Amino acid sequence: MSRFSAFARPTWLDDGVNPDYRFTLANERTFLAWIRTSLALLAAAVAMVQFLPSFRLPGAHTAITLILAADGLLVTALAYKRWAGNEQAMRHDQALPHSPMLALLALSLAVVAGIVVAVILAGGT
Amino acid sequence: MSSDRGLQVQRTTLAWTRTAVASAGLLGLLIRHALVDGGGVEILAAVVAAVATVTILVLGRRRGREIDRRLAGGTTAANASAGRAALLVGAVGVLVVAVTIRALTTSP
Repeated sequence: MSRFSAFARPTWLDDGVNPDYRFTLANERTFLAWIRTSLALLAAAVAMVQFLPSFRLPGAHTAITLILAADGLLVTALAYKRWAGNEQAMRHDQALPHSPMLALLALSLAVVAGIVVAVILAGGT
Repeated sequence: MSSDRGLQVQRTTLAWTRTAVASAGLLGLLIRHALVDGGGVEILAAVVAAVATVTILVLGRRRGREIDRRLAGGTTAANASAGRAALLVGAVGVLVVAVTIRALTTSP
């Protein structure tokens, strides 16, 4: 049984102690920044299929597009998890939990950059 | 203290507005894609993106007023609607993945 319901007020919202409002709002703005990152990744994937033809390097176009789209989806899920985890930690005066999101995104974008270099070396489009 | 309060409300409202703008940008691309590619999945993606954009706009404005009110009363609470926003953007993400897979597999 999960306590998660996107349309009901999360029960943990009232657990523990109210943190300083500045921390709560900073956490919220961070969440929204990650959501914007996700939206940008999704937009890049759609732009790839709409505006860019295939590349000479076989499989590169597909790989880049799928990495961007999958990352877009993952970042949103992880962003919510991070936001909720941070808020709960603050309410119970614990250390903020670690999120793999940063490492995931850095790795993915490095891979995309590598593929782009290979695409250019293979002669572009 | 009250000037910091005003600043906090402004920064948070701005963050929501910027998020709505980002969602609108993706919506534009999806609308174009649906017009060009006209499939059921494409149209659904554009519709869900439209719902997400409007929802983010509305949630942002409500949140601004809510924070203002709560800070005036000396408390604040975490945003109970963050989950809803994430779920909608997540739904858009799932549909974008479907749309891109479809575009990649049906290209000539």
